[in-house]
Amino acid sequence: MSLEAILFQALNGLAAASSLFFVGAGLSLIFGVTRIINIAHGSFYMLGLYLAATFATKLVGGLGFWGGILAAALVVAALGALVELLLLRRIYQAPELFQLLATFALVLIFNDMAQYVWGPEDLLGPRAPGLRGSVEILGRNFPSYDLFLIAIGPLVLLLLHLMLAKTRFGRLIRAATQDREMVGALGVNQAMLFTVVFALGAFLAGFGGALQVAREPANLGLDLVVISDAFVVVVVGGMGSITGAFLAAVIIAEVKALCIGIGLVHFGAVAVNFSKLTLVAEFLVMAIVLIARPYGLLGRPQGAVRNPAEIDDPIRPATWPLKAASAALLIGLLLLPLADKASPYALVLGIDVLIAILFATSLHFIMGPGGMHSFGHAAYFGLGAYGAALMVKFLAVATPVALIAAPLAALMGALLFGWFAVRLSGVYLAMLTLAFAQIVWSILFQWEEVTGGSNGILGIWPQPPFDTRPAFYLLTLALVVAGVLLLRCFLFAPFGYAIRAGRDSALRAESIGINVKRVHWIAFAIAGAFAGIAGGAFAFAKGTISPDVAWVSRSIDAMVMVLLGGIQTLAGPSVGAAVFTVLQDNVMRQTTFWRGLLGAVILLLVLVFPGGIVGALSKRMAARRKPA
Amino acid sequence: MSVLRVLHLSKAFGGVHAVENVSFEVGEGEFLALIGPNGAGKSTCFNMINGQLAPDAGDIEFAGRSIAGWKPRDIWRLGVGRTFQVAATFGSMTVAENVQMALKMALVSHHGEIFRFGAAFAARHRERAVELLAQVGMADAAERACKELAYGDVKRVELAIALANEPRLLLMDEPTAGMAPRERNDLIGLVKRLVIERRISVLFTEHSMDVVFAHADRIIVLARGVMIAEGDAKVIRDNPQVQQVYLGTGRTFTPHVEGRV
Repeated sequence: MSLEAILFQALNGLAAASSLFFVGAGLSLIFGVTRIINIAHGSFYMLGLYLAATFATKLVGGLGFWGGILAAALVVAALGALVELLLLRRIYQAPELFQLLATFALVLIFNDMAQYVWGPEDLLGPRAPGLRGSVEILGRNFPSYDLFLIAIGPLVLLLLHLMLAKTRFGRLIRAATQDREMVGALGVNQAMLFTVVFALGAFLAGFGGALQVAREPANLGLDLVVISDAFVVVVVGGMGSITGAFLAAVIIAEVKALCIGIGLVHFGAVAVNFSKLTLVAEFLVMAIVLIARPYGLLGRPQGAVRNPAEIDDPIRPATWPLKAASAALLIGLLLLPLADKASPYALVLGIDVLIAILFATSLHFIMGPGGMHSFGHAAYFGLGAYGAALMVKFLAVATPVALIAAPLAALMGALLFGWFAVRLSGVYLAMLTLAFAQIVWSILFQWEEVTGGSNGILGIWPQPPFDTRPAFYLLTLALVVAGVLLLRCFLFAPFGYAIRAGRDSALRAESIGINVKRVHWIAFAIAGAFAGIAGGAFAFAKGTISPDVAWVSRSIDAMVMVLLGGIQTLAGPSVGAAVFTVLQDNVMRQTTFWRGLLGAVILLLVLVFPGGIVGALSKRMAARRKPA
Repeated sequence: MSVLRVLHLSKAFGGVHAVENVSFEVGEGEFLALIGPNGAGKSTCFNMINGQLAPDAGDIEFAGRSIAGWKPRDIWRLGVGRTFQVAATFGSMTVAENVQMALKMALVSHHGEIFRFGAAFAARHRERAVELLAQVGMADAAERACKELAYGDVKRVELAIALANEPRLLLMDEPTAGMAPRERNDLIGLVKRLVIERRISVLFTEHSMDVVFAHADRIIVLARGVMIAEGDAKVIRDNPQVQQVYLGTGRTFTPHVEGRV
């Protein structure tokens, strides 16, 4: 590849950097002031792009296009203000995890809204009036519109910088970023400030999206793609730093552009296609930065967040009524295959529920007792599923062997990623785990020769004697019951106490001899391995798997299951997984907008039932016991 | 024979010399107070001895071994107990479990043994934990969740935790911070009784001077990272420089020290 080609590709990268910077800057501003990671920021971008495309086609001429971009950004800003007023204002005091979930619920709702308004087809905007042509640079044609994009990034950076440095509003933002309680105590109308900042952040995201109208079509998958990119930008640049976001956006965009530019390279006998490694490269940059500078290139350690989650109750062995009820339930589940003739669907749903239970319980293991809020648990589910499927595909092994390979594959991944993850906490941990899951997903997606790419792997059916539905159901039941009981047993062992000790007070735990990082690392690996078992069972249950098994929404599903059941209880994840799976199964058949409905359920959960089902039940039982 | 020897210890944060060339020793069974106004370097000293911070220069010897730069968990293994300014306990465990956890860690020969997954925790070292709790007056609360306790009681539980590995040295960072005067004297009285019984040496920082002058065997005064006085209560009370630091001119450091900063 010639030097000119590299330079040309670098220009392409710069053009892509601007929009990335706008989304990242908005996310960063909002986090700085409100301490909320707005996962719906990618949705704002997507909506901005849809709106701009609509305005540009409906309103004719230059005014329609350029005015449409601004109008789209303003509409998104108004939507942002509305979100802040109606939702976020109620959850500023809630634990971090609930804030993340609430904004994820918005992602689901906005996505279905967009599908309702614009339909599932991609929407392509017109080209920019006045900037349709191209300029010759380095002997190649470079679109004039991209030159405009290259210029507008630094311009907005300058404007934002001036606003932050010179205006009263900017001073308030900087003050609130450092200590928002203090700003409130000094008599600043905090509520107003938060709303305006959120609207400004949304405006930037909407603007970033709208500007892409002449470059890329609007589609419904953009929200999660963009938010993953924006996370990387913010984490690399440093949370709360606008200049850092710009720097990071340029770095990320350049790395991606160069990967595409380099293309196929032969290292001796091995051919590596770099253009397929963009996602991996991007997240590798992030992982490296996080390890070298845990707070990003230009970030500073965050001040303590003063809304600690409620502390769990001490764990207790099951009481005899609970044991009796569990035994009865187990007998009921063992008898379920008898119903196979009458309603074959019962067993299919039963298998789904069982797999979800093991998956959710494994996530709870690190999320509850470990306090590590992993937003990428699907990575280990996916590794398990592919671990089993690849063994079947390439080595044609027996079913039990594949089911042993599943947790091993997941364990390897969890040991590797967990080593990094336990070095971080809070939102950084959430973002890093999400990033790792995206790496796994992109490898599954892009390594076509082995994983089959987006088509996945087909025809993974269990061999005799597990090849009938009842037999496979019973196998799954055995795996899941053993898995759940084993995880529970771990929690009651000294190891489980050490996990909780590290969460409750790392300071105290270290000063009585507990190696907190090591304990949490092993816990992370164990949780990954059990998620891998669930993934392996899933592969055989479905017969077909695709990279979807490791996609973000599966991670979030597991998280919702845990919270739905109650994170502070041990039985909660099982109950939550069962309820969630049955609900999802029913709702999915009723409506095309089930994701939006799921979002609404999550919001309800966050606002009304923060303790989850089991949490609410046990609270009621405790209340009833006390007066007696 | 001294248990702890601190030799020419220094630590700077950026341009600020938090601790500069501080040396002292803690004798066997001694109750030694480290005092000084805010910013004197007490907590920095503590955090270096405990392993939370690595010193820039100097050495720390515990029982004849250099422990400078060791991790807190390894220092604890040698027999150093620690309580924190804001009591650090495990809120989601019962009071007994808090102490059991410490006992468990005290009795495993290396920390790999924590990765035994099978055996239930609940019954481990149960009697010994209740015994320790009885000594700090908390046996009745053994089954309660630690998060439900009043702060003064949490401090007692923390003391029991710190005693679990039968330490030779106890580091107490402001043991009476956040307590009412009555509770304060009870706690210090309790600590004194326990350490005399067990021949434990204690190094503590404290802001309340009545506690210090009533109980400390010896007092070390820090100001702006430098040791300015050392001696028993009477010596310290009569030291003009100490008076100046605490009451005097409003300047908490001598020109000599200022010059170096």
